[in-house]
Amino acid sequence: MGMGLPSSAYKRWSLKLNMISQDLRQEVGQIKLSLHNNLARYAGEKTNFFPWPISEGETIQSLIEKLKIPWEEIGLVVVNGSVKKDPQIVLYPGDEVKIFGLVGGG
Amino acid sequence: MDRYGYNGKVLHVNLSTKEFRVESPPEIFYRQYFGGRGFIAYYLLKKMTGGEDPLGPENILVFAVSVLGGAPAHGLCRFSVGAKSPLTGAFGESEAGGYWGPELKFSGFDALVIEGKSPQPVYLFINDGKVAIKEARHIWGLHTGDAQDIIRREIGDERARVLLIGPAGENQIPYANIANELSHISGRTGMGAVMGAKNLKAIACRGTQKIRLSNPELVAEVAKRVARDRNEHPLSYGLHWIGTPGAVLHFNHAGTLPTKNFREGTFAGAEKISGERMIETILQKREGCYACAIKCKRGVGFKSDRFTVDLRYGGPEYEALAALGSNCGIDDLEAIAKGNELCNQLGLDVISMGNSIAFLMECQEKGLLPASWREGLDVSFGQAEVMLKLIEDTAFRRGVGQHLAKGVRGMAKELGPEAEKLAVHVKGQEVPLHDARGKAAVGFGYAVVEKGADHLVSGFDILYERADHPGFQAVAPLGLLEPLGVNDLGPKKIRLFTYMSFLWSFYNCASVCNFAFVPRSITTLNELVHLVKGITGWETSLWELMKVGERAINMARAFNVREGFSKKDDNLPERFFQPLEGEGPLKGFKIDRQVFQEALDLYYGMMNWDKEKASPTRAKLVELDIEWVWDCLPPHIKGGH
Repeated sequence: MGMGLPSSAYKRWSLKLNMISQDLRQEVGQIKLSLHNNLARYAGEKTNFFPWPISEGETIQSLIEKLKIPWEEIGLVVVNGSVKKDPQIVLYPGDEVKIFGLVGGG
Repeated sequence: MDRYGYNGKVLHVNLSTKEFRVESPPEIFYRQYFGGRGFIAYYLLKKMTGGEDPLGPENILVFAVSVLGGAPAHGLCRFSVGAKSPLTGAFGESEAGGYWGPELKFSGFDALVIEGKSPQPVYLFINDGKVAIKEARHIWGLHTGDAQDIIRREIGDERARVLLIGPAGENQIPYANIANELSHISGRTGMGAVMGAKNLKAIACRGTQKIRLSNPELVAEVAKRVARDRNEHPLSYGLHWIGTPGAVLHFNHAGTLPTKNFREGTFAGAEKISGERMIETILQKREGCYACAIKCKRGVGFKSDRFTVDLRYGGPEYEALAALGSNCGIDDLEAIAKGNELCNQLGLDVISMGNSIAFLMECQEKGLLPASWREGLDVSFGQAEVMLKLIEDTAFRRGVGQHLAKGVRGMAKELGPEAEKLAVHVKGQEVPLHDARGKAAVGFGYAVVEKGADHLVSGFDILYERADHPGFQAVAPLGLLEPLGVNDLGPKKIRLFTYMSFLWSFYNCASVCNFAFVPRSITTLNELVHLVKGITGWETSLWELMKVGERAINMARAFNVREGFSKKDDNLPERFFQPLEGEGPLKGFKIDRQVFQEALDLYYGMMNWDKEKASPTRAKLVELDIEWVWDCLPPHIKGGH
């Protein structure tokens, strides 16, 4: 065993770098994002909108994947005030995106 | 025989004669009824005969912890208080967490059964098995906080846990509540009025007796697992971070935030009264109950130009935010927090209070309110200062408060048929802040549950909507394997409702908090069984626990049947059969009357109840090993079987 990174880990690492640089290349602007209830922990427990960069053709699904939020933790996605059920909806700079987690009331 | 978990002692107090008696029920009593709702239903059926005045000395008031209550694990902190309800005339029951229930166990008793009426105001002090009735004339009329301070000083123990009523309970407002530690509230069905009618201001407990566990390692194992994972599990983490107020914005976007007396489902001011704004502005700390690692309670305190709110009265939960906020058209978070504090100081149930005000506001808007009722006050939606004044006036039956003190049903009856269409109650209890249009099983629970409209009956439809939801996955051990839509009220939803209502009923028998256990939180059903085994040493199963829950529902139902309740009382307010107004996503949605009636018949069938009488059959009672309950039913119910 050598001292360097195992080749598989290296591949993953370089792939990730590549994805990040691709994102930077294609970044088209920022959305206003807020994460609610149990999702707050994925963004440092903020309670309000914060700016978030999006790439060309960013969808609700690709955004959630980049945020590394498991699907089962998501309750409701609201874009510019209305609930969106289709994860393939494309986001544009300036959009207000609120993602809610799971609630039960009481 | 070794006894684990429970003390084996029930304290009986007669306030008329000042006599005490300690009952030592056998193990089978604990195993079949468990505590909480089960004990309450047992004593109300055995010691009453039907037709009693809820505010008379003949009403029986029961405080019951349970076999599990006070064991050193999260979410076993609760107790139930029950009596015939002055609000509904039906089985009355309310649950609360905090510290009082465990302390009653530590002081040597599992439950307290109170009869009669004291000739003058008194409070009880239960201290390590000893009981004293103490003079309370000097604290009668005081706010809960002031009275608690004096009681602790008098008994010379700052660590005594005090349960008490405020002026609203003393004045027998039918929805008066009971507080313990000032911020843990037994809110529903007017149990505070029953205490007030008995001239009982408070019950203080102090105990040093430890709860014996059969297998402490097993209990510790579950408690440690939950303490370790509570910030990983989305539901328990969410309860800690934002608590129930997190529902305000979510429900608003889903179109199910009750607004303006349940007329609409979205509120323009929702952001301003949300849990998120609360965190940014008035939240001071997150608090919990006995032995709990989740800490879902809100501690709110502040001093502003307009209000001072004292941290020790807790903070508004979702129900308070919607009851005093959106449902009254009020978007003023500080005023809502003040209103919540007033309700806890004066001893009023915030749900019934808020909805009574919202009802009055809509009646004024529709021109249904006589000038003589308003006494010059503008009771229109959105008036925060008026809302605060009305809360105080209700506790003392002053001005408009004389009318509000009748509750929604009482006011509507006097105002006529047009007002009755706006009266959102079931069996006389104001509906919690969840629109039945958008939460089918919650709405169905409002209709059938014995205590009148209550939202903690079977869990929220949203928990069972998706296969990947942790709440849905957690109930698979019950055989609930198919996700169902939130507005589905078909046969499969009624099956789900029925099973889940057995589990919830067990929770209400066993001091179990639904914010610590599945489907709303982290602790699994198998862990629940481990806890019962570890605490009691009983070789038990989920089957046996579910049967405990079902048994208690049947006993509560029998109590109501004896009081003359029938199928027509298992109904929903007219409002939910009408289209939801406003501009939200559920605009125009209403509950279909025929679907609802079919669901009701199916439910009675699944329960093995008589479909016409809405009453348990003898066969069902025998199956649950409570044939004695059959003898409590009136002859016209028993006939024809």
